[in-house]
Amino acid sequence: MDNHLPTIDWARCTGCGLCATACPCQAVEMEGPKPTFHCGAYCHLHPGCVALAHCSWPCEDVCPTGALACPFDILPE
Amino acid sequence: MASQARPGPHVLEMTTLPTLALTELPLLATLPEDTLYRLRGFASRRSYEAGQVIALEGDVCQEALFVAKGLVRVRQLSLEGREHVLAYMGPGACLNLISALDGGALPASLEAIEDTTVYALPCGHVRDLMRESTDFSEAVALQLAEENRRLSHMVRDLALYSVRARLARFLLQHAEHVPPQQRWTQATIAASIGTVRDVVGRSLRALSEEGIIRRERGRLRIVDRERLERAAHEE
Repeated sequence: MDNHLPTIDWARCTGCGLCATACPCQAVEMEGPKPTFHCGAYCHLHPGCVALAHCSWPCEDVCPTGALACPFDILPE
Repeated sequence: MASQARPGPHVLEMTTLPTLALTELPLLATLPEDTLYRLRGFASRRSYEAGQVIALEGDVCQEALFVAKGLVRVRQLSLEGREHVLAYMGPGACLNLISALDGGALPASLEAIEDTTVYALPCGHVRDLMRESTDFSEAVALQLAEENRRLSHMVRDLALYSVRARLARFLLQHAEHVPPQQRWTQATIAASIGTVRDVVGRSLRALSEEGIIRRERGRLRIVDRERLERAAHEE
């Protein structure tokens, strides 16, 4: 199932943890030096999830090395 | 830094084509059946996995390459690794028409971004077809004209418009493709509009804060098309 989680370039990731701090959906957690991605408690993407927060890609915005990329579709309203 | 691997041992399959396969290509569909039948003996099919390099910028072209299936990124790289994408080419497109016609080096590298099948036809045969068939020559001329026009617009945008305007144009153009042709990232958009990822990120945040777009997980929605169109004309 494609849950639209970020992709990561491990060659660029330094394990700084800024992505985990920035995520409003609790979808990013640090396991040691590596971020891991999963649908958190506030994921609004799937039926049954609690729709509390919109993800506006803060993890990609704060990543200092460009290791994180959030793929997206461009859609009209 | 973007990297390029040499092609060569990654060709999965080369088989002689059925005539029908050649008619799937708009340029060759103009040719009579007996010509297509003759060509099939010279054409071949090659398959590339997603991520494989088909050919590199500067390579000398021996064959004209036509996309039968998949999607190919046409890109140029600077010595520092900065990338500019000239086009994404899908089924029916000729990837290297200019080089096939003038025998010159490829102006850009070709990379499969999906599993891709291409049909290859020796360049000499393409030039022979130009002499033999006025329909084929006309189709080639029209394709070159279309490509020239598209690249002229690209040059104009790069020279005369701000990154914000180029980004706005990009979003408007790609919102029309439903379903979307491919998923984008800030880095791939940056490569398409002649800038870097950070600048695209800042510009998207600004558009979002202005209420022109809305960013969601896996989606970017155009909320105010009118204002985005105005942004597309900012210098």
